[in-house]
Amino acid sequence: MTSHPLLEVDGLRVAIRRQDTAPTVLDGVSFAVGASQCLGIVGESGCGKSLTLRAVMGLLPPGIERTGGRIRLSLQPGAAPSDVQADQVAGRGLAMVFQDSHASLDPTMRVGTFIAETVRRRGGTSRSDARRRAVELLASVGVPDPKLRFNAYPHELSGGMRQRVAIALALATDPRVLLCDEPTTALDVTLQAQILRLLDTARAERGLGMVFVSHDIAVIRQIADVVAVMYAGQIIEIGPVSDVLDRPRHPYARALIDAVPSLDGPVGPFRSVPGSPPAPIDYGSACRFLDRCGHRDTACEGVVNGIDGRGAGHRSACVHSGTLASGLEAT
Amino acid sequence: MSAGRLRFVVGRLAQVLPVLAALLLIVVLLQQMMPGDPARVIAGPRATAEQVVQVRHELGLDRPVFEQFGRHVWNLLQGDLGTSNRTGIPITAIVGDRIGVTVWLLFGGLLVSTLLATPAALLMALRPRSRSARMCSRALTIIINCPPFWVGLMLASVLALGTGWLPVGGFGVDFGDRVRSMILPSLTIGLAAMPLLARSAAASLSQVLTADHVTTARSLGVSGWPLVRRHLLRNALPPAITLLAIQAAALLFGAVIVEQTFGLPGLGAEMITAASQRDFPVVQALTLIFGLAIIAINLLADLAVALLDPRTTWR
Ligand SMILES: Nc1ncnc2c1ncn2[C@@H]1O[C@H](COP(=O)(O)OP(=O)(O)O)[C@@H](O)[C@H]1O
Ligand SMILES: [Mg+2]
Repeated sequence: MTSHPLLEVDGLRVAIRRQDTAPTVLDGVSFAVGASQCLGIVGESGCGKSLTLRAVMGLLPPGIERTGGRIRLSLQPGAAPSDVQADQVAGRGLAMVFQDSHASLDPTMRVGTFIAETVRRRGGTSRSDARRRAVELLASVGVPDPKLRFNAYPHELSGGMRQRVAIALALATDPRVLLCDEPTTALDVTLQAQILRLLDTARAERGLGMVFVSHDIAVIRQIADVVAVMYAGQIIEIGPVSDVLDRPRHPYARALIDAVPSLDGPVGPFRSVPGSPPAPIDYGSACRFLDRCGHRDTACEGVVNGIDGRGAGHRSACVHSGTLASGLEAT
Repeated sequence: MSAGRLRFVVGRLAQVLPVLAALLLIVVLLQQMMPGDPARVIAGPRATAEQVVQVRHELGLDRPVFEQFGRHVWNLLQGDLGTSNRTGIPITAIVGDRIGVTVWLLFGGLLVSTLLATPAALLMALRPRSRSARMCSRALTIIINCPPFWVGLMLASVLALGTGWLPVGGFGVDFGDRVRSMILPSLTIGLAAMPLLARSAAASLSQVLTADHVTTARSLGVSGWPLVRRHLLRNALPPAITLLAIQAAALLFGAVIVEQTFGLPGLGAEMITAASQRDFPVVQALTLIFGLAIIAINLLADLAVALLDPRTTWR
């Protein structure tokens, strides 16, 4: 049996609608996720990680539009992914967990009621069965006293507990693929580890596909199998986690990974490359990292596309990646 | 009721007491601040200086302010609002005669402005870029710049004089006449209050619309009317109610003007008559009633908001 990917994103383009211009913020983003697989996406703040997930969910903020690309989702176990409309997948195959659990849960709804309603939306469940299912879900995400917590409002729960509820809500839709937008960033390290374990368990038990966005390399190393590095609205490197994180090929990926303080070293300032990423309005066809790169030459000024993240293996968009790879590893 | 809500209700009720005291104080001091001497008004223009002093003594106006204050409060607690300087009629009777007109007028105004503002707000919040939303917004700007009495006159000349269906002023004797005589004044007040209400409700709605928790609900597949009912309105209603309460004072002021414009025998018209005739006790009593109404409206609004928002607690 061939194993199809669950989710395939092909050439995703997203633009900001302004009065006179429409700068492209996501430029040909492509990736695929299989069952029980976790794709990590890393990159500096503003590179388009959140917009990627929101575009896939069909939940772009007002004023931002998808201008191209296809999204394919496998809707039945074993089925090949088929084209889906962006406004039809939220809660029907795709679910999402957000960063800020405080702002992302409706303050006027009891968490149990919200989960039960979400269960019932799938149809065929009686009110009392949905309640029972909600209590089970709360228990399964590690909420103690789930019967009691059923009646709690979000503001009555701690941050870690709220994030567990958010995960239970997402799981209540019985998704095929779970999109996670920095779900542990707002939590302290202990809670962070617990939530990562919880997500990992859900993935294994349900055969979930998972896309996990983070700017934290350590978190990605823990949870992802494959990692894509984003820069200025493009995927510039992708590959198995150990390959990319230990032997980065793109100078930007290298800089990003170097900037992470080692686990036992002191937490120093972000030792990043000088300068900052270009604004979307300045995205051109040349390599977008060019101004900050120590390896630039005329080849970098030609057309440099992001890479298609759907293939297997370790690949980089850098025109010099072939020659640089060995040199970078040596330093 | 949760502990937080209970604390809120108790705390909010306790907050009313100093406001009530301040209102009473202002009402008593009003006499001192208003131009003219009530004793002279009562004694009449031909009274001698001694007679005026005599009247002032009889009225207790030569007593210290705090004593007047105490007496006033004592009378109020017994349901005694005093008597009119001009007619000698007990003020409770005057109020009883006229309060109905004002209450119905305010109710009508509120109904009109809510009926007009709700669709306008939904349109402007949910379809902000549509042509109709932009036209709606322009119309609101025009309306908000029209003085209520002028709107009243325009409505009267177009709807009443133009068609002859509605009375231009006055208050009929039978029920049907009275209902018809309330229509134009209610429209006038409602139109005056509507733009601000629509604008703020739209702002509150569109803020909720892009709130993270609404995105979460949509990510779970909630859409259409369930999204509006379960997640948008529940969260947008409390700010709208607070706003409505803040507008209560402006609405009352509007009622005073509109009653005068349309010759309705309500509390507002009485207030203007009493003020122009230096009928101090009536002015005092009506000021007190208007003040109490505003305090009560704000209290009710805050309690309603507390009921709708589970995060409520007393800070
Ligand atoms: N609501 C918005 N309106 C306008 N621009 C936005 C909005 N959200 C994001 N952007 C822009 O899109 C780009 C990508 O943003 P985002 O996906 O949030 O980045 P990340 O999640 O990687 O930090 C940024 O340049 C940001 O300024
Ligand atoms: Mg983000």
